[in-house]
Amino acid sequence: MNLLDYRPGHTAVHRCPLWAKYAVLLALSAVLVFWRQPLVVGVTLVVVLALYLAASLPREFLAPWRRGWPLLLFAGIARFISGIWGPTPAPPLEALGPALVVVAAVFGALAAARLLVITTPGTELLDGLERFFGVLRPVGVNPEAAALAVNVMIRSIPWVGGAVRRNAEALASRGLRRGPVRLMGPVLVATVGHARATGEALAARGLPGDHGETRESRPS
Amino acid sequence: MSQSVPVAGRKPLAVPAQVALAGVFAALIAVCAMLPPIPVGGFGVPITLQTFAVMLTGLILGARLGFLSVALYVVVGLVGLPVLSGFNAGFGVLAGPSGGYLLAFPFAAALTGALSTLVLKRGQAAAAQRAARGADVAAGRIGFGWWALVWLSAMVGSFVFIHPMGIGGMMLALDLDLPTALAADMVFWPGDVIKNLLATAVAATVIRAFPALALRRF
Repeated sequence: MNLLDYRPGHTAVHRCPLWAKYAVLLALSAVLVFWRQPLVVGVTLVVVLALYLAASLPREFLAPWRRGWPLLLFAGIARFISGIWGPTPAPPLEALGPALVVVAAVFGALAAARLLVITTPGTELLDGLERFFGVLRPVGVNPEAAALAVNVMIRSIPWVGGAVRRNAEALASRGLRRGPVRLMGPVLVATVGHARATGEALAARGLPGDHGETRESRPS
Repeated sequence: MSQSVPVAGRKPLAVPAQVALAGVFAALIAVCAMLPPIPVGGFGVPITLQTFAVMLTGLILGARLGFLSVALYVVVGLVGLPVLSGFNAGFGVLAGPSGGYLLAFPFAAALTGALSTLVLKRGQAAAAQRAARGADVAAGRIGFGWWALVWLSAMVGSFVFIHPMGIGGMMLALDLDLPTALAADMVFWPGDVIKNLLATAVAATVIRAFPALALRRF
């Protein structure tokens, strides 16, 4: 299963520890959301581009635009309309500036987040998530159970996808149009069954391990 | 087939079963978010299935497990696994127009789950009573009016959490004023009504197959 967009490499950006990547991403995103000066957004975009260059992945910089341009276009148009008809109506030419800044800021945040994803192997992301669950233990999260649920989720995605495809083929072979209820009803019945079987399989293996404090202590 | 309803001795669900249900339904949401839009109705207007799957998870798993399952999906998406719709990954999406909607999903599933649990338990009890009187052809099945209430609980979940938080997210991320953000959000209202109808219809199919799900026995 290749769920991830990982682009292997050995640059400084790739080798940076995960917490540092998240810290930089958090800082860049916060600047882009809360500090909407054209100059600041411009400089932040240059920083993101520099990081892409440092990772020697310059061609990936525009990928968020290629994949997400409808979203960015929507953001720009909404901000433009807000500028013309909003509480302080401005002539269209003056409203264009803030709209472009918003598009640039959203694009920058998407590009920065994507750089983290494509320079980090999926297993490392999952390990990081597991450590994050450990931090949440005081608020009542069971880290072992949560990490196991993540694994169940990742492994179930191909299964559910396969169930959707099989049912779509079954509908097509009977000449039925694939309306949402016809398509998803049988898939959901199969999914509940799959979840039950998975739960029994986990219980039979004594998972999740009871070295964390599980909510009920069950001898199994 | 009439379903006898045991009243006493209900054990809390074991941890492995909870883990499996939360994980598998989070996978279901991920698959629905990645599916191409599906044509619906006479005109074949395409709809995306992400919010449909979120509400369905609330309707089937109930408040607590529904919340955990949807929260799992959101957390995995924000960490950077490509399970969010539109091929976006990582918490950059929080700075985009859809950030507020994404954060609202777990709460909407929880509220919808809580309300629909109340409705379904009463509906199941009423159906069992009717079956005991031997009145009906469709004995033991939850009646149509109860399903309308189930749909209503999905709508309440949408309008208490998803739309206000979506509007707030757009006002913050896109620097919009309230009327514009509201107008942008209202574009989704008709689709939302339809998606909640579809989620209710699919939930009815599933609960017909597994009647115990109406009582949140998994």
